[in-house]
Amino acid sequence: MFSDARFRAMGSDVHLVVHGSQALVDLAVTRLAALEAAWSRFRPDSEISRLNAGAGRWLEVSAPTALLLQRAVEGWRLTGGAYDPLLLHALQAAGYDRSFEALDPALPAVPPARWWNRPLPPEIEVNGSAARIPAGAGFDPGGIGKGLAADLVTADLMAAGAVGVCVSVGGDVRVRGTAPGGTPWTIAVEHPLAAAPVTLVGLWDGALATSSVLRRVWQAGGRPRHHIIEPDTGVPARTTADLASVIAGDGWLAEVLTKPVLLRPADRRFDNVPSGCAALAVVADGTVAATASMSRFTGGALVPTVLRSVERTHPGGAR
Amino acid sequence: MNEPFDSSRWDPPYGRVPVSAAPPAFDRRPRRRPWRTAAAGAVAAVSGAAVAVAVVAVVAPTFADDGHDDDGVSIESHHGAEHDEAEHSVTRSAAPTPAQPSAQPTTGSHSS
Repeated sequence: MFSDARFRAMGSDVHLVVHGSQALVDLAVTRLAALEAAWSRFRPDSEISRLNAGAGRWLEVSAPTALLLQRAVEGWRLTGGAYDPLLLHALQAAGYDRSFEALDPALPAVPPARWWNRPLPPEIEVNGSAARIPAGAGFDPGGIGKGLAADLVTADLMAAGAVGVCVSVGGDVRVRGTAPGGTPWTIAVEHPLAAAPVTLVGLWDGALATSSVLRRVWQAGGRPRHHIIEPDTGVPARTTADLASVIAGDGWLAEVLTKPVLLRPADRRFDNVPSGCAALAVVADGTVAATASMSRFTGGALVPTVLRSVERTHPGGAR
Repeated sequence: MNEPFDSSRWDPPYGRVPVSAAPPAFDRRPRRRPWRTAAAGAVAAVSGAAVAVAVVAVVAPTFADDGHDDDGVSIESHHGAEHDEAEHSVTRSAAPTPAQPSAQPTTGSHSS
């Protein structure tokens, strides 16, 4: 038997497919709610909000939050700084200072963040159940929180007896075990402006994360803004791609690896992608670039080199 | 179901990040610390051009430093054990297990 559920959590759409009983779905909903309560930067009583409010001081945190902080530092290191978890103040300065659903569609102009003086992620410290982020810094659980949540929830459900689990939290998909029917899981890489998937990916065990500057877009001072912040400037990045998808072993890792794919120059956008993993990027004119390793996950099928529907409908200055 | 992890696949061009090393460079321009710039300027105004040249000579290596040396020390001195464990876990989890996709997707990945 299998159970399928769609709901909202962590400010995102969640799609859960469980090869197992309905009770496992309830467990996943409960677990995601608990992680959101601990990690939401929009809840003043969350662990992340307390860490941000008490930046510079040691605070007790739960094991998942300690893991989140450790993974965030790893992500910064593995991406050479393209992924940076301490950009919260820059994100807030760009106007993203409340849950996306509550954002004013036309914010006034906001000053840029004081990016130059901010601490860097290695200064995040975790010691057992105590953690400290550097004074003056703000931790943004953002995408990595969704990816890690998918990792933790799928692990929980397998431990609770699921034969297989697939969970998507805002585009970060993690699969384990077997899909209903004993088959592997198939995930569609979707582009917001394309009617058909960019490609279909097959996975027995692993994760696929997609980040884009075409989602979570708002206006500030009459200018379009998005949530991908350039670490060196502290403002919404002028990315070299509109959409990046990465396949990796875990959701948190796939999520952080999308950032260098979006931010790096075109000829180096895949430099941070480990050879066992795979990635693709869609640029504004609809052209698609992918690592050679992508074919291992598509059953040998070639990823299209151009998305014609994007070419026709892309708004150009959408950023 | 999982393939044994092949560490040879976790090598250049990506490159393993040494535990004690700073992260690889990512287009990081030198991080000018504004207070240092201001300090250099103040000294120059008071002491004249000759002193300014000396100050620039002293400060310039700091500007040329992209900040990662300091950060590298920080990693090594404060996070060594943590990163030993962390890197192992990354290595362990780095390789997904591919499969033949079916015609019908289970779900979609459509950006966060």
